[in-house]
Amino acid sequence: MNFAVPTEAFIMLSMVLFILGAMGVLLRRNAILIFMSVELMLNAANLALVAFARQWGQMNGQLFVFFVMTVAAAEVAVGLALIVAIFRNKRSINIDDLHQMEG
Amino acid sequence: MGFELVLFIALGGLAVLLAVGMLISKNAVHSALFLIGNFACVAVLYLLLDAPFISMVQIVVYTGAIMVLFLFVIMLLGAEHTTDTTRSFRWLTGLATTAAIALLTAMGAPLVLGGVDLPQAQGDNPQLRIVHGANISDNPNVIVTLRGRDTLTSEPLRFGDVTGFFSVPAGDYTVILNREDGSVVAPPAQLKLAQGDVLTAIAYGAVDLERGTFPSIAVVPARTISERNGETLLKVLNAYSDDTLRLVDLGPNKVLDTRQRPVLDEKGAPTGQQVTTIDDTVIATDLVKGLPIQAAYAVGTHTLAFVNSNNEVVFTLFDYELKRNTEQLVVLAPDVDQPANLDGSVRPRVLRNPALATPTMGQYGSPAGIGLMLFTDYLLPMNIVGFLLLVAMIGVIVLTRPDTASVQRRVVRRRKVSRPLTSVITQQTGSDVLSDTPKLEAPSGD
Repeated sequence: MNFAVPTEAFIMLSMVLFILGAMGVLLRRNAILIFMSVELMLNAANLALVAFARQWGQMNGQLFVFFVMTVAAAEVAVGLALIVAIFRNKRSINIDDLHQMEG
Repeated sequence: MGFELVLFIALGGLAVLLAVGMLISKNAVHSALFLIGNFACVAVLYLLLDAPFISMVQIVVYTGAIMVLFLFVIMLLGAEHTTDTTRSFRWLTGLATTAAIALLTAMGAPLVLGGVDLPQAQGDNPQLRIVHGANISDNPNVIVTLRGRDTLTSEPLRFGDVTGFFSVPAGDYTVILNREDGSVVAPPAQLKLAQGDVLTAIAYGAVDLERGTFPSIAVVPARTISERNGETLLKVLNAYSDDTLRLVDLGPNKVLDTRQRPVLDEKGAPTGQQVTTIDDTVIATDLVKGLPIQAAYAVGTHTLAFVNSNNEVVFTLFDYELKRNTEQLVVLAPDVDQPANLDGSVRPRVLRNPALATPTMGQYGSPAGIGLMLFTDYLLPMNIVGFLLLVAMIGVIVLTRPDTASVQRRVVRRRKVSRPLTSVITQQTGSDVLSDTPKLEAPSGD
């Protein structure tokens, strides 16, 4: 089967988005932005899954995307609740202010 | 360059730009809006990838629910301005950028240079099931053996029985019909099974030594993708009559309505001859013996009839139910259980086995297809994910619960300890209790 847009192109795009997300997690200090970068990475992984699902002609990849989205929704709800709780205690969501484990 | 490729490049580039915008934006609200744009671009890319349902879920769940939650929390905390001033890991910036470029090169180079050999869709092993509709009057039970790269033998099948689907490696097979005592019913039939095939093999026909006919095998594709909603896929096989039959919906009056029409010649003038036409809805035509015909008909309960070329009803199916999203195999077979007609011919009957109605596959990426898989192959993961969502909900409630009760108790206890009664009295009376009262001295002298 020949696709109008090759699967490799989608994988490249997914890779670029994933790496941008990973850089966001490493470079940004704001907890909410780190969270958004994690969402970007999950989304990039979803794109790769859907692209591979089309490559194989099987819908299992799309079902995995469905599950990843559900887990992401749960994760965002808990994560944002954590951020709100931390903000209540610390008056800040800059993760550099949260060095509690440092000696 | 095709339209899809142009769309991909435009949307992909936009998605990357929006992701970069999210990364470098100083305002958290702008970051969230950039991310919403990115998710919307990816949703359109899902449409390019034949995943319309996932695309809609992406819009609703990601750009809708999740990002609204993000924006809500940003606004709630008043954390729009993300000053990264108190950065402790300045050296991380360079390192992360280097690592990202290295990762991109390591993963992208094989893709760009074509060193990755992506396997193509091959499909699963072929699947086959067998329907016994052959008229073997002396001993109706039949054992079907499939011989080829793998040998499979069925249970003894009664007339009208349907086996389950069994999976075999692709290749050429020989189908052998045996009686229960091992004697061969019919000459072996050849069957070619390719990757991805899902087939129903119907044994049909009668043993007639005088005319030299033997049962043979007709093959119908099963688990096909239904293209139209609200219609049942019918796979009709005439395994009874040597005549060419038609399948007709008799309508509410349950009688075949015919009409005499004059036959016209080429110029449109009546020739004086009359032809009989059927007024009822004809579902399938050209039902030659052993040649399955596929047709689609409206969902509901109908009275169907097989009509021969003389416009005579051969067999009537009263109150035949056609279900939604179902493919129904209709096999008109000679009935071995009933006594024959006066002229010695065998009466027909349609095989009525619930297993002959199977769900059609949903179209690739459609809600129907994904729903079917969710409730069959992925039922347990679906339950686990539902449980996870429940746990997450309880977790959120516990995390954000205003902890007033315990706070008050702690404050009260601390006041008791830190402010002794004397200091409270001092504050209220204005005079120092401890210094103004004469000190009690221990009585001495005793």
